[in-house]
Amino acid sequence: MHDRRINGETFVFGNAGGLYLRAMTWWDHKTQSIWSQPIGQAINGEMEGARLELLPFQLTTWKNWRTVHPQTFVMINNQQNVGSNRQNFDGDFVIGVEISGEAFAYYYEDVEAAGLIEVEIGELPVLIWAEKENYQVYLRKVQEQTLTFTNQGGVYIDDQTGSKWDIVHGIAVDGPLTGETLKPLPSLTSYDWAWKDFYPQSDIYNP
Amino acid sequence: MSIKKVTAEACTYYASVGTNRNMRYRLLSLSFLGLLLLPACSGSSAQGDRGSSNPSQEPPLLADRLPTPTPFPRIIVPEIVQLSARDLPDYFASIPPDGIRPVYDPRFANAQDAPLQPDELVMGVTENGEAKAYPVTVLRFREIVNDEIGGRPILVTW
Repeated sequence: MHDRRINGETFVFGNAGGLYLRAMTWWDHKTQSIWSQPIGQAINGEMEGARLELLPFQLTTWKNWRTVHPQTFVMINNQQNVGSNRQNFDGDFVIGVEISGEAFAYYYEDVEAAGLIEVEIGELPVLIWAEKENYQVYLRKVQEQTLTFTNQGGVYIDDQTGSKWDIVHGIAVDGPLTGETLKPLPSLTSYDWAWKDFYPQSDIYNP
Repeated sequence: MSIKKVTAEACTYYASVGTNRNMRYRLLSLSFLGLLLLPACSGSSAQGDRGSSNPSQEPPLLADRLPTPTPFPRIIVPEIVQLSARDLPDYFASIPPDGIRPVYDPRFANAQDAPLQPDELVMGVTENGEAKAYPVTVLRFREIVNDEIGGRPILVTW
């Protein structure tokens, strides 16, 4: 999920039809440069080196999404073509996070088993949470204070202030930080082999 | 081909875009021709109501009566595409550009009208209070969606 503007100009992207390091490539309509999907960057042509901003998004089940965002719109192109061939979570999925050139990846299943992972990426405190085919990546810093969390019987409480957090929405619902929110960070959901192609130096987390 | 036939075909097209959630925008974007055809289509539609039923006509989505997402400008795809990455290391050209057709005209329904199963995956994004979900099954089929949300142009890819 990217912002498709470069220096304020909106670009339109098509499918270049080729593979770069086994992953999808795009072409932009304006310059017909080639872009690599996993890095969101032009690898050839006039735009070479330009990079799209990666945006936070969620990969989750329709049920989860609809519950949190009842006002959502749903894209309905090609619904007739997909029939019963529905996509569910795959054991090879990793959650990838790259900040300031530092990249980490975690198997979705491992994050779910751990419940919560706290880590520093690119010198920023990061929280990765997964449960029941839902995950979030947050900056765990509020009011210049870095937070650590404890799961107390399904309720997430920060160790610094004792506030209770709704971790799905990233909002404090009780205690001194009530109403404060955790900033979602961009992540990349990928198959593990694709992640290894693009971030060969980045280990995939193994608890 | 008679003018009446052309008008009828245009009306069919018009009826099909009429079910589109971006109908209001398309109405605006259809310029001279659209304005000429509009009265003809209205007439034809009224005639259809009085005449025999038309089973192929889809009922309007409930979503058409609810708020619409951000209007999205129509995209015209260049006819000639010349990509020059063949000599790039680690690059393998496999199919022609847009051989897997990207989505240049995203269409939307509201949550209650979405033909999705509860446990199927979506990519969800929010911006300025707006929320949009893209079913992964469709993303696997189309791979690229050019869209906008809350005023931000976005590229959804799988």
